[in-house]
Amino acid sequence: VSTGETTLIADPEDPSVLGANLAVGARLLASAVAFLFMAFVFAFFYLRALNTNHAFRPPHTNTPVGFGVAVLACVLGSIAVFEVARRAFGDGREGPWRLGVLAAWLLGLAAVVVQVVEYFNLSFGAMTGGGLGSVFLGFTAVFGVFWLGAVYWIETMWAQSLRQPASAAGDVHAPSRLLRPDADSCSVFLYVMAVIELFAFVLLYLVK
Amino acid sequence: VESASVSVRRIRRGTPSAARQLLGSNVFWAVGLAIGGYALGHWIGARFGPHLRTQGETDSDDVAIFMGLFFATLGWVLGLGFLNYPLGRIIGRPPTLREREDHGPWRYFRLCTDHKVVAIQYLVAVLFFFFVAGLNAMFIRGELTSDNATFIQAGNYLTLVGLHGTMMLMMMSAGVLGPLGNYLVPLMIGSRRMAFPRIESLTMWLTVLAGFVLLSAILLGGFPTGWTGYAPLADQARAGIDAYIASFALIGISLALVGVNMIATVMTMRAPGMTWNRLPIFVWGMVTTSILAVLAAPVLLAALIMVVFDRAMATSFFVSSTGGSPFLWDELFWFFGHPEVYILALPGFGIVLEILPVFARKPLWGYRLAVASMFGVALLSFMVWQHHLFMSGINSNLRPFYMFSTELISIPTGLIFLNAMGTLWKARIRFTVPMLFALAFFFNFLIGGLSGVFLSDVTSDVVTHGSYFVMAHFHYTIMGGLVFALMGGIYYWLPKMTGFKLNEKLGKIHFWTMFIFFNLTFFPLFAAGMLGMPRRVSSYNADLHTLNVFVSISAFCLGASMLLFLGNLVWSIVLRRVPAESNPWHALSLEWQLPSPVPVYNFERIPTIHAGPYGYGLPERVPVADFGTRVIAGEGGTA
Repeated sequence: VSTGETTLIADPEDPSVLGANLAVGARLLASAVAFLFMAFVFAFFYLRALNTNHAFRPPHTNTPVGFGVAVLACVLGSIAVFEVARRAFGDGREGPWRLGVLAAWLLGLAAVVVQVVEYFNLSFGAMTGGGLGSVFLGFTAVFGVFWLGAVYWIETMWAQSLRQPASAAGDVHAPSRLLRPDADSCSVFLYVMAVIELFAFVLLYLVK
Repeated sequence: VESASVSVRRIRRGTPSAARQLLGSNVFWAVGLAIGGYALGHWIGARFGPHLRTQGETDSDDVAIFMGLFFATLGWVLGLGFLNYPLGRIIGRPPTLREREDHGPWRYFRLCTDHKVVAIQYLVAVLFFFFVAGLNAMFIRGELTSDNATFIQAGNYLTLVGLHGTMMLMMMSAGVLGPLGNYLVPLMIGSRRMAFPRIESLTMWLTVLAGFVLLSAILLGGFPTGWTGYAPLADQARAGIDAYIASFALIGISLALVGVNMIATVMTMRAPGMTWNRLPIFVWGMVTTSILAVLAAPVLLAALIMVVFDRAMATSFFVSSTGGSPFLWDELFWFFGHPEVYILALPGFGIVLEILPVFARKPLWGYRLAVASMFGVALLSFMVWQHHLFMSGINSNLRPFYMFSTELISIPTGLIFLNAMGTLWKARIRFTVPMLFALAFFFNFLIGGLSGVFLSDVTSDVVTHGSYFVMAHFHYTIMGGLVFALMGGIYYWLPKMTGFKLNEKLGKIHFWTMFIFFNLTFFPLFAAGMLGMPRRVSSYNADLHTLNVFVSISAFCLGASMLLFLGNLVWSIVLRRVPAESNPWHALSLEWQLPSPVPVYNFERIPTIHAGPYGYGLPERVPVADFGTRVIAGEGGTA
């Protein structure tokens, strides 16, 4: 049953508008995420400076550097491969783009898997890790959630490029024209995630 | 297709039947799935929680509750249809901006990507929770008619104070950005939409959920921390605090996303010719508020996540005995909390500076100064948070810096007053209801601001900290400031939003009763604070009894004045329904050049902007915008 009302519809906007939305939105989102992790960085230095009850780093709280390196490698590797793929896409090479995005996605997922495995191989528990253990668990878990968001973003581009090859884009309104600004915006977000992960690695694994 | 213009077409399209719409995603499904989600999450949490946590500071089943609240949130967004698009993207569906826009009341009960619908949803939700929180205030004042606990026990009194404070802060954070920002910013900058319409809608529905989750704290035994959630109390409190944490986290997410959306909209969606110098001052208010929301709300979210870890997994972020510190919460919370104060104040500045030139019939005096002042306030608001910790044992060497930076913030705030005075100077003022509220804003905010200088000063803060002096101060800034500005904004823009005139006489009665009883309620509380009456405690010195009875009676009258407002809304919009003119105030800004209520896609053609919106009384004024062939409604005539 329908009442047959008059509905207004707007013509599709030029993808450059959505591209600009995405570019600005991604930078703002990255800023917000950076401030969120600044809170964990602050917590690290604050609790370390106070060292209440000399329990910031109990003797048994040792974060496993090997796992840290593995997570870092997967995250940075994923971002690097994505960057290479993005440049290939910019050059109009769709094959390397798709392959690169797939590889970036898999590496990104691997980072999450390694992180989860690490949780089962810690020398301390949530209750016994002291201040450092708390910051470690909080920082890495929240990073994992946001990293999964980044991995999701990468996957959507891969899926879209399979479904709608960019080369098929004949007119300015084709959705595939959004892939480029989408990829550019995603890379901004990924760079910020890379910086955060580097911070996490230095603070949680290297600073004594 | 009936007709086609360059960019908006009218088509005849079947509207789904009511039964079909009921089966689709909507708020009824959302409620059902949220309740089901809570039950499922709670069951999973209860089953696996004990493996996560073997010992902690609380005896409540926090893992189960947090899992329940998480799954309830998932159910809520699933029921509303927010997961359809992201799931579609996983399988490669192309990106789109908006859902199909329909007419009719049904769109108010589901995901809708028309910014005007979202704004009205926001307004209804914010007003609902505002009245609930106001009712809490009435209970509080009722209890304080006696100097000892009577009908509310001490623990419940704390919960009541916490619910009132948290709900007011949460809802007022969204109070202007949500309803007025979402409605007006696209219209004022000549856009058809916000940059991210789905996110816009999501922020609204998360706000609604946050309000109900916070209310669920009552069912979980309440919480004793007030709106500030101080550790270690938050780590040790009963399960009600879990609802506080979840609701504040939802608001934090919502606030950050609103900010991202608002800034992106203003940066990328402005009409041709809408240069930065021509942006309405209200839009600048929204931009500066959004900057604060984007940068401050995530810090709150991180702090809340730490509390979740402490309560659910027994980590020790805030537990001194095991390497944490409760002061960490103070630092993180107030890093958010003080910018939050300006998240509440800056939109108020934007509203009143938008209203003043219209009713003074003069250009806004010192437009650039006003913009610079707003940015000055926003920047400084990140540098003052430790004044909340003057009495918490911070390093005494830090005190002078934070005292100085806090007092510094009064300079840009003072410049906003200068803008107002310059605009009103030698003006022929029309004392309409919006103008009265705008003028009252300055009166109240002046008292709030001046009392704030005393609190920023270490020596006087030592005396007044934790007393009703502080309480009176922030009510003068938040209620006397933001709520008065919001009321002015509602009276000013509601005819545009709804298409109906509000009753002027009822509006004036509402204003005068609200203004008089607001001041009679809160001004005496400065004295109560100076005489040593502490916050958050229902017992006080018997010498203060008469004063408190007077304040309570005034507060009840203040509450009654809000009922007048509600009555005016019902009378004007539901019962009388007198159509509003397109431009009843003869304003120049873009939103007033459109029909009331505004059509779905706002502008048939995107306008070209030729001038700023404050050319009142200028002989050489040019039309603000070129709308193509349409006749515009304002005193600018055709464009």
